[in-house]
Parts: sequence; structure tokens; C-alpha cells
Amino acid sequence: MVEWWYSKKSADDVILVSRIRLLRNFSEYRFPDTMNDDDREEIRERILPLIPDMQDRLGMGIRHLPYERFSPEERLALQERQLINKAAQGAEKRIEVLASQDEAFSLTLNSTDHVRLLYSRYGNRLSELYQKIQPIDRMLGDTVPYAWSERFGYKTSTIANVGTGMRAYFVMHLPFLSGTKNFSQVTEEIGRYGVVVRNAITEAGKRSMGLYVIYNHRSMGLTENNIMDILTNVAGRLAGQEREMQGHADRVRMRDRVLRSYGILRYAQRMDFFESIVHLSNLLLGVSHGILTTSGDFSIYELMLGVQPGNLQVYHKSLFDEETIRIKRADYLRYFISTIDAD
Amino acid sequence: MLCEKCGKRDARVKITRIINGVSETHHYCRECAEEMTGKTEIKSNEWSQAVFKLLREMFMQASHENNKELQEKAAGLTCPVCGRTYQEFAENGVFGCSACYEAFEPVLNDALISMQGTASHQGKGPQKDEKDTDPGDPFHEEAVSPEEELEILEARLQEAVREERNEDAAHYRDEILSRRDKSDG
Repeated sequence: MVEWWYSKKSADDVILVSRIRLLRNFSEYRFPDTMNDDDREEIRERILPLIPDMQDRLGMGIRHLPYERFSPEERLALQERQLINKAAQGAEKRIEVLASQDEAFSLTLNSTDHVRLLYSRYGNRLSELYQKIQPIDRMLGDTVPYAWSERFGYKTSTIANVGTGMRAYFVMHLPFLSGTKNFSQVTEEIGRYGVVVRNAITEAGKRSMGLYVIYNHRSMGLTENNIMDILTNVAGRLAGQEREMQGHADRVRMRDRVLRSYGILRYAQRMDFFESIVHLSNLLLGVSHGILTTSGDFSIYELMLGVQPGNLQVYHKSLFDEETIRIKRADYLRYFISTIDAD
Repeated sequence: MLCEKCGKRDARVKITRIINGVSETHHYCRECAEEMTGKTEIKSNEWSQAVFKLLREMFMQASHENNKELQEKAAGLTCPVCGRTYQEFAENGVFGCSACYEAFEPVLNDALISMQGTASHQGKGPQKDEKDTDPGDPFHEEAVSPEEELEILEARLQEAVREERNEDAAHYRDEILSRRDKSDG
């Protein structure tokens, strides 16, 4: 289902995921906020036949998901895996979702903007992803001309995304750096470069477990390469600092931290979402420092996505109440963690 | 923790009562709390949407507050293609169609600068790959009429002046002057 996490070749334990998002609209049609059903239908009819061509250019299989028949849980699960955004998850009008088999690539049609292109992969590789998504971007714009002008660039539904229509992301694991007292100063400083640092997962009143998302705040006035360069630079510095801190960490404390979490995940019978992420974060640390060895064909990050409520329910093909979700989450974790060995 | 009243659902709402100077704290589930207080809990996403709306209005208004002329101009703008008024745009921040950009252009500048820090695009276009933008050739291979060229240059000049990019401003000024000379014969 989420095969792109399996490839551990370029795995990086600090910069977990790179992601490029492009927003585009077609000039011949009104934007989704004002368009009618006929326009939706027409766009669908013009874009969907391109799927075989997209497959050729990307070199991978692409499915048109039967999104209109999806249950709320199935939609939530896609959003939790970051394949679609919250607007698409809650869309009342008909939208189309195309995704590659491995879920690295997705295209959402007729949601907030006519086109939302997304490409994600494990590790630090923004510009590679941008290059890969180019042929698709070009093909769509050649088929139905994009709303674009010299002055404004790509015209998006809101001015927050105008210009390049681009957002570049990194998902980062910063357990040590984020634990330092001056981390908020660090994020403030990064803000000066137009880069936003946000907790990937938050729960009111609870301390972060070190999983962060960073992305560009501005989409205009910078070239696509500028955006990727700034972000890659910032991520590189953060990662360097994090690795250095991990390297200097007390070995006994590090082992204690990792193995406590390992023990809990291995034997717990019920598990809150937030708590599970805290422990999985420690497991990630354990894997990168050789305290734990994974033999199964999965990554810790994949488990972090899998323990979310929508994905758990879709995995079991059933609807659960909150308490059952906790129990199923603990079951799910015990199953996978049992294949991880402690040294 | 389970709800103190029904004892079935998770307690999500904390209610503190102060009676005769003594405070008591109770924990209830959403449903029981709503029943007892008659208040429907405002969900966090509704809160954040309300805040977003306030911020959007604030920045749309703030950008024209000190400029009465611009404010009046904005109030009368309507997109000729989709019929969206500037007022509607200012309320939800969403464009109705591609032509809205041109329709609202006179008043978009400030909004763009306050949100993006700039009001002109630098990246690639559908027909061309990204190049390092050379301020000497803002038009690339796009066919633009001399009048449009002048307009673009003037917009860039104004922006450069506003952002105190003096070298760029001087460059655009010279470009404008040289083009005017040419067209004067």
C-alpha cells in the first residue's frame, strides 16, 4: 500500500520524507469555488484519459481511486497518509483522486484548486522529486492551458499559494534538538528565511515527540529552485545539529530511552495515539543507533502513519469506538514490534 | 477518565463551578456537558476558521485603510467573468476564476506584499523552464506588446522602490526611459 517507505536504500533517520506540492488551475474554467458540475465533468473527461501517458512518464502504475464511493474512514486514512489534504477529505462536491500504486505520487482534481500534484519519497531529495513531477505538470498544462500570467505566475485559488504554486516539505525527526531550551529560538530564526517549522503531530498540553514538518511560507517572488535550495539548506543544518547531539548523547541514557519504549510497545494492551508516536520516535532513534534491528519489511515511519485512527479502521475494515481503537492500536504495534530485535 | 455523569463516554470537557467561594471541578463527556450547559461546544477547527477569517479581513482592510482612494476603488470591483466582487474575495480570500486576478489587480498589490513579501512572480511558466531570472530580460520568450512591456516595467519599478531595492529600481527606470525614447522615434 505504501511501498515507497520500504525502500531503505536512501533512508535518512533525521530527514524522513521529502515532498513537493504544486497547485494549478485551468484558465478556461472557473476556479473550483465558483465552477458548476458541468465544468467539473468536463475537466474530468479531459484529464482522466491522460492516465496511461502519466504512467509512461512516471514509470509507475496510476489508479483512479473510486473516491466518491469511499467511506469517511477511508477518506480520513488517505489524509492521514498525506495523499490528499483536509479540504479534499471533507469535500462535498465531487473530486477525483489519482494515486500511484506505491502512493508516492498523487493528483487531486477539482478540490480547492483544479490540480493538486504531490510527490513524496523517503529521504532528502527535493530536487529529484521536482524533476520527476515536471513532465506531468507540463502534460496537464499542454492539454488544458493553465491560468498563468507573467506578473502573478500560476494563479491559485488563494493568494497564499500564488506564483510558483509550490510548497516543498521535509518531515524531520529531531528528538534531541527539539528537547533543547532554545529550540523555539531556532525555529524563530528559521522563520526569517521564510521557512515554517511545525509540529507534525500535536495534542493539547503534551510535549512534542520530535517529529516536525518544515516548508516554505512564501510561494511568490522566489523561483522553484530558490525555494528548494533554502529548504534543503535549512533542513541540512537542522539535521547536522541533530546528528551531532545524538552523537554526543550519553549511551546508557539513550539505550534506556529506546529500550523502555521498545518494552512498552512490545507488551502494552491499549495505546493512545500520541503516546504511541512518542515511543515510535524513540524506536526510530534506536534503529539509527543500532540498538534495535528491524528484520521486517516496514519502516518505523510507516508505523507512525499506520497507528492513526482512520488507517487502523481501514486496516481492519471495521468501525471502532475510541477504546477499541486503543486496543487495536496496541495489537497492531505488538505485531510489528515483535519482528524488531533488541541488541 | 470517564464522564462523571453517564460514566460511559470519555470525559472531554472540564467544568469548574464556583459556589460560595469554593471551586469544584467536574469532568464530563461532550454530550453530557452540552445537555447540562445548553451550550454547544465550539470545535477547535471552527475556532481556527473564525480566527483565519478575522486575520484575512484584517489584512485585506489594513492594506487599504490608509488609502481612501484605493478603498473606494476596491469596493466597486467585480470580476467580469465569474461575477465575484472584491468584497466577496476579501471575506473568504478565494478567487472565483483566473480573470479575478486582473479584475482585482489595482488593489491586490498590497495584499500580496503583506502575505508574500512581494507582488511579482519569479519562477517558471507553463511554456518555459525555470531560468535564473535576469532582471534585464523580464519578458523571456513571451510575446508582449511594447505597451505591456512598459506596464510591467513600471509595476516592477514601483515594487522595487517600495522594497528599497535601489539597484533594481535604477535598472527598471533606465529600461523604461530607453523604451520611451525608442517609441518617441
